[in-house]
Amino acid sequence: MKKLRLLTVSILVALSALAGLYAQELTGEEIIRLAHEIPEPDSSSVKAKLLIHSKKGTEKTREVIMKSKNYGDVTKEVIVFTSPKDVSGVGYLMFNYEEQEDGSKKDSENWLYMPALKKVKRIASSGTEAEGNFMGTDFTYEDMGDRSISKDTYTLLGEEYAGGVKCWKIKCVSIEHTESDPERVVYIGQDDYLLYRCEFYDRHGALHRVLECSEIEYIDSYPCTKVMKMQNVQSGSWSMITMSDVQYNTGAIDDSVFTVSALEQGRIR
Amino acid sequence: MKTSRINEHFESFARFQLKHRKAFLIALVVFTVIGCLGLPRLKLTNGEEDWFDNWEEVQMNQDHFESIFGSTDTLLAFIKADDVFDPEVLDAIDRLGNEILQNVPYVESVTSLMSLSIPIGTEDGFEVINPFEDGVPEDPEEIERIRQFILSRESLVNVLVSDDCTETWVIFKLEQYSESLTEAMNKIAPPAMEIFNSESYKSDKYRILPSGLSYTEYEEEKATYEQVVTRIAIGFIVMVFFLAFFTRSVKGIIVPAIATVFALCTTLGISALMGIEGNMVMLMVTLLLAMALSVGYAIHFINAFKMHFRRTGERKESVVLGVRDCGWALLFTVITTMAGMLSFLAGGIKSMRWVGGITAAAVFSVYLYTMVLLPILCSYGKNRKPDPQYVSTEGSTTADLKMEKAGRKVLKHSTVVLVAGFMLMIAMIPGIMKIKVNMDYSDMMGERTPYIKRLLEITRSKLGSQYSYEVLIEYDEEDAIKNPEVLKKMDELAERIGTLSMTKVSGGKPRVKSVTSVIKEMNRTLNEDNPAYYSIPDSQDLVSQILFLYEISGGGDVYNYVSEDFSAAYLHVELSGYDAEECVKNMDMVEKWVDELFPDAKTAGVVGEVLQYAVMNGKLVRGSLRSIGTSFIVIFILLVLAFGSLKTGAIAMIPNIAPVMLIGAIMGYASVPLDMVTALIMPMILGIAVDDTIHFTNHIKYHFEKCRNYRSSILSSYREIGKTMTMTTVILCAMFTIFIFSTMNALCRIGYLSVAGLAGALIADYTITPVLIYVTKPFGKEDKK
Repeated sequence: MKKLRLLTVSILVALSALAGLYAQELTGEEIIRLAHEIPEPDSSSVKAKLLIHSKKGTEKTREVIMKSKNYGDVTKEVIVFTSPKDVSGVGYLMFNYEEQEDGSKKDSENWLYMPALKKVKRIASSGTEAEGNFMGTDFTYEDMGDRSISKDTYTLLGEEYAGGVKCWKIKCVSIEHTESDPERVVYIGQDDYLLYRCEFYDRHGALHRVLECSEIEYIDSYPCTKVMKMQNVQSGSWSMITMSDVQYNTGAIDDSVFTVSALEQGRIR
Repeated sequence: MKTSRINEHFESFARFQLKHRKAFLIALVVFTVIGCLGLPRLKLTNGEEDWFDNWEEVQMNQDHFESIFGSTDTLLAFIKADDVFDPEVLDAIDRLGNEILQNVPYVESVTSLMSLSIPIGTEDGFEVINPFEDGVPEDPEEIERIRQFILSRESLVNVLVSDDCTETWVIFKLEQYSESLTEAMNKIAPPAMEIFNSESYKSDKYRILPSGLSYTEYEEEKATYEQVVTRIAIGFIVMVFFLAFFTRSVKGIIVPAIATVFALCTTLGISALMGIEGNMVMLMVTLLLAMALSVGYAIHFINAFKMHFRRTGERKESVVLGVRDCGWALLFTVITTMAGMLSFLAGGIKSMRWVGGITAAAVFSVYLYTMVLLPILCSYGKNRKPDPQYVSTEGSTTADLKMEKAGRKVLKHSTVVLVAGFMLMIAMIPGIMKIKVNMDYSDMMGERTPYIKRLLEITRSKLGSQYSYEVLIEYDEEDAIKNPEVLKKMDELAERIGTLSMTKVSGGKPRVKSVTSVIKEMNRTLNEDNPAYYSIPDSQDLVSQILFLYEISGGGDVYNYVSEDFSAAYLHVELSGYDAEECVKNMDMVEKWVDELFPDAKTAGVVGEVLQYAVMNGKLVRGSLRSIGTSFIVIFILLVLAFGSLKTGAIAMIPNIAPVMLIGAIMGYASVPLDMVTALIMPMILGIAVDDTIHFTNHIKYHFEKCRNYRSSILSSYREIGKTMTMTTVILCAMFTIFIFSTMNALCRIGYLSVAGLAGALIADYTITPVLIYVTKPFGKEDKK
């Protein structure tokens, strides 16, 4: 869930820290690094609508409630599906632990609740691979993640408009080159350092997917990308995640929300 | 009509032709240029659609299926080893997976022993395990532990890995491509082939056997092309060799060579201008037949011309007499060969119709070129003195005289000939009754074709299968498939299909796949891995949530077996081999069960290519019978018309029934199935074999009209054209022998069955034809004087 929040809050930037810098003086890596240092809210609550448009032209909608809270050493997150009806109430609870100073990291803890089973099941692994589709959409878990800067090399390609905003265009190439889309071209706003567009290229250098971010708002001084559309240009499918009821640091999120019993009792609304 | 009268017309025409020989040559050049203009438009395909008349309907069903479930194309590597869990094998699997992913277009993901994510139920939930997450362990005990764990998974044993650990699959999922299969396969197969064949995957511990639709289609195209080019090249060499050997004249080599090349170019060019698409494999039949007949026609004329030229020394006059003697017979043989080939039009199979039509046109074209060019070219040159050696023998050579001697012996033993011929034909009948219709593609291609050998090895393994079909169950309502009752019925259907004779069974487990195995596996996982829960839950909500959980956990492949709105699903059934009759019986049974189990479904039934092939069997039998029947009737009518007598027509037909029966008997006794290719042989051979009968009968009739004596007419015919008949048959047999050495079974069978048929026809023409004429006296009473 931390991964998702990172994207919804945006991937990006400390504006104040960049005030005295000129674009010409920044390298691609510096822009990305600064974008990664953007402050994040301690807690968030959001409703998201996942629209999945298949290559065959059919559409499916899924709605979820997502809540997360940072406890310092651990970030607790919960996702509950509210639609479609036959899966309403299916929920995930995840505890993601921070990396220790010695580099070690405790394994995340995950639970799944299925109303039809009336039982919470502990999942010893996320059960997903980084490149697996996120909730059946065209996004991957990797896309939603906090990708380490050290995994890629960066080249500033120049300046270009994306979504009507003047952006830096940066090529990010995976060092290991093992991902299905090892090359990305990201478009980062020059004024706000937010992500506006990302093009994903497959192993053969062909354009595979295109992400477009829009309706970016500031909530409680934190930027929030409300609409993200990912299009698979090769297959013709696309998915859109639309955020609503976004709340940051409201203090209204009770700790008991992040418990197994809250899932079982259907208390997450 | 009297033969001598017809021959006189040909004689007059020959005189006219020689008088205007330049105009004839110019007209032929103009015709050739116009025909060749179409060649750039010629389109030859080698697709399965060529075999189906109702291809659009087949494609519609396939499109409907793919519109629901997506493309089923995958790239596969079958790994055969003493132990697939050997560290070297596992390492190769890992490397192969990565290398293909990196280098082969459209490859989306890899599933192999090295990339497994296996959910396993625990006391308080479930755990997702990737057994080789950290690579191949060095500790043999650890590998053994992983082996036992993987073998404990019902969804993997004898599906991804065989229970004896000697076989495993590496499956590369391909993204759906928007371009055609031909375009996609040209991108997918070459880089994959390079990797599979690279030195880094050569080991005595394992073998990699690739397969998959686009991969094998590419190989098929390549193999077929090689076969076509090699056979045609050899065919041309054989043709030139025999021409040189039999005619011993430069003109005799050049004219048939030119006639064949231009006849084919103009025929194919004109067909291309008419927008007709051809078939690459079938074109070989046309090409070789055109070459063989061109040689045959040339030899008939050249021998007739030489006979007169030796005797008279008058070049132009000998040309005219040569045309007089063989012109009508040659034209008539062209008509009957064309009739034999055109009988394929009644066959009802697209590529058969094409080859029938195009060969008939090519045969006529060859005749046209030969009979325009050869007399004209032979007319150029000086006259010479009559050869005294041949004047007394009326131009006959020693070989001709020996033929006459053989004829005397045949007539002397006419009763023996008739009785033996009759007995042989009786003996053939049980063989003919044994002919089995079976269009097994692998059998047609044959194991001598390397990729077919590999595919058959995969088919015979525990994990592999080459033929499969699907059972589609489609409802009007969304989510209908989530209904536990429907799912349980699908399981029941799968169980029943598992008992059918053609269903492949591996390790006691029938190879029937459907979405139910995902649901049962997940249900067990969610219930502490208790085998008692390897079942379809009773609650529809639970089914929905299990499928949902599977999908959002990255199991998008669930939609390979069920439609996205859950209104349709299918069972994938793998077959142990191909036996058309059994397949049809199996599928009839499945259709019956489907009607019984899913009475309220919108669509329910068997789909897939195998069904089409099975249905084609029946069609092929009817088509072949129609084709053979049509050729018999048409040729009989032509014979009756040509000889002006029902009796003569009937007599001329008898020696031609014999080779067709011989082919049928060989097929039956040697268990050669009647398929799309072997179905061509009988009508084709009938069309060709009748040529010699016509030449012989025509000659006898011509002489009889002059001398009114059967014995004398028959012996003259033996002497004058007996040798030529042998020559043309030898050349035809040599051409068809080229097929015998093909690695493709279908072509090999065309080869030896045709050789047998043609040889049988020649023997029948040397024996049965003259004896029947001698005994029945169809041309009227003899002159006692």
